[in-house]
Amino acid sequence: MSGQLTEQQLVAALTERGHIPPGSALPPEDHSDRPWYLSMVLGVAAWLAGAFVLGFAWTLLEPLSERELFVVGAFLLAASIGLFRAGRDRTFIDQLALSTWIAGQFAIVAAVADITESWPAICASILALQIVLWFVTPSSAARLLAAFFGCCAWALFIRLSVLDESFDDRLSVDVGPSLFVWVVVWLPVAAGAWALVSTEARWMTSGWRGAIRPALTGLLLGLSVGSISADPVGTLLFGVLGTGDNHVNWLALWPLLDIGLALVTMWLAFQLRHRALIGVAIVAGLVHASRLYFLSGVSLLMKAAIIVVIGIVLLGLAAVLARQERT
Amino acid sequence: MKRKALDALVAHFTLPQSGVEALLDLSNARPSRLEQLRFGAHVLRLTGLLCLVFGVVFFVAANWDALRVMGRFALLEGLFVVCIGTALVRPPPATRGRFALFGAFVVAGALLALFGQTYQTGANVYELFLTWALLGLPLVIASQWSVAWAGWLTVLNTALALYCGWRPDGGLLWFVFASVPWETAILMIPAAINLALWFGTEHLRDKPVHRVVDALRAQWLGRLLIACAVGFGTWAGIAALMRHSWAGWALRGEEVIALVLQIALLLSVWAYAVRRRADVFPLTMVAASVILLGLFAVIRGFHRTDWIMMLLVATWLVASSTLASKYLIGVLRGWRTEGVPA
Repeated sequence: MSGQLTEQQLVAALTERGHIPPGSALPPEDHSDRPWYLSMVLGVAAWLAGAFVLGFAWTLLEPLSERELFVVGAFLLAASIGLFRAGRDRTFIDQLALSTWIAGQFAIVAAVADITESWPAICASILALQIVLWFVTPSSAARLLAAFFGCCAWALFIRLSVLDESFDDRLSVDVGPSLFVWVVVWLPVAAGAWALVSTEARWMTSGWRGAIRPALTGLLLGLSVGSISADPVGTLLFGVLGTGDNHVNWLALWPLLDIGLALVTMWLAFQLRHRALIGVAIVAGLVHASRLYFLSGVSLLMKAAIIVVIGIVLLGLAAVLARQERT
Repeated sequence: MKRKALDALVAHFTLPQSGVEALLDLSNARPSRLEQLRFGAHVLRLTGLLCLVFGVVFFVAANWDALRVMGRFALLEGLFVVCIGTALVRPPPATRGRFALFGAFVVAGALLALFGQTYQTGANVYELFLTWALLGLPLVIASQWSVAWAGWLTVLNTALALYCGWRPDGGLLWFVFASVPWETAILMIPAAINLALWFGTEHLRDKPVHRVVDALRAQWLGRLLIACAVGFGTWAGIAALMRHSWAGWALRGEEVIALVLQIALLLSVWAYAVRRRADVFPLTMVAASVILLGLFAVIRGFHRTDWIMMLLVATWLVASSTLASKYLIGVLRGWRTEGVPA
């Protein structure tokens, strides 16, 4: 998918075109580059370690009041940011920093939960925390996670505050509000990701490129799989629980719209030639299809009719594009 | 070149926007209009096809009263015939033929489900998936398409997970394994099947093969197989470790067998991948499995819930993932230095 030029050839071509002064030295070799699947293993390990780091602090210092928990969280976050700064590209310190960073967030969110006892407030605080952490954390992995968790928190915040649902239950919602809430949640995220992709050359020149790049990846991850986090806990992935009563509930069609988001993600990832993200979007699309099957609220017959019509429309659009391709 | 390397070049040479545009163009980092049209058409076509076949599955599952049994069978069989007819007119590797055979494979599954639903065969769900995998195999082979193979592997692994994970009574596999008292070690059977298939696809990779099996050489398909193999093995290992949790280190015979088999699987994958020097993904899967098994071994071995335990587990996770990263990056760099496109 990517071009065949090596770094030296690319620099030579840019020098020839006058973008780089002749005789400029090549940048030092980057030793922090790793494949996406290794980054994923490291991220999951750090996330798990974060839970145990918090467990360690909790069992060592218990009982902790909300304020003490908040202070512990703030201390862990400050320590993690210090570790990130001190240990750039040193794997052990990076991993330790990431797990401490996650533990600090757990502690702060737990403290906020104890103080407010309100799900929308908790989600809003997670969202605010992710935005702040995206600004102040000098780590690509952490910034990617902040953008992704921010998307999930945003989706949950809107669902719980606008629809007035509880965390683990689902109300019957009419088609209008259902569509409205989905658009309010996902349109800004999709528009943000789209804008970042289309202005890539502009922000690559700014000093914020190191922060925007992981944010874009996090947003695209959020677009493809983040919508699952807006489901009630009981319906996560394949559950039929928690959809409440036997009334028509148009929220059951959200997964269909989420398949559209997966397609948008695929398209944007293709613009970046990001194969791993395209793969994630494909898997996400299939997971959304299974969610569409299992979520009750709209009859299977209705769902079948809708997706067959959509399938025919998509095949028609594909034919139009194929014709354009030939001309 | 990856975006990260391009960002590093922009930072190093402090390129202006015109320079970045030139960099993105020269490195072919952005798709051309033709590539966009091709990608868009392909994605829409595939999504449209999936919508149609999922629509059929949903329709059958809806059990619509207004359509009688004969009508339902006629609908599915008609679709099956249309798919096969299309594939005969435009045989694979033509895209239409591939899509048609993949559609026929999915419709075959819906047909089997309808058969079970209508005649109340008493078959377990795993039997549906197993029969689907067996009967659908010729269609998948004929499609010459890695995506159809991925669908087939998903169906096969679902059948194996349903049977080996939950051991339902009845059916073909139950008849074979009913006398086997194992509950955890039996999970090594799907692990072994996936491992054998992975070795098979790896064996095909460097050789000229018949076009019918060429699709099996896709790297991502091999990665799916090794992920399933290591995943089932890790499931067996964790189940063996946690079966009698909080009871110290004493393991029963079956649990020891499951752990020994998983260790053997990991060692064989590691040895093969290191010798083959083609892809670091299998080594990453081995590392992930070791990290997880180690995590549960620590939890099982020290059976405490105090701060020492929490510290031990957190330390294990950070230390093991760091070591894994250092080792894998070292391997990757070594291979790249030797010119291996890993």
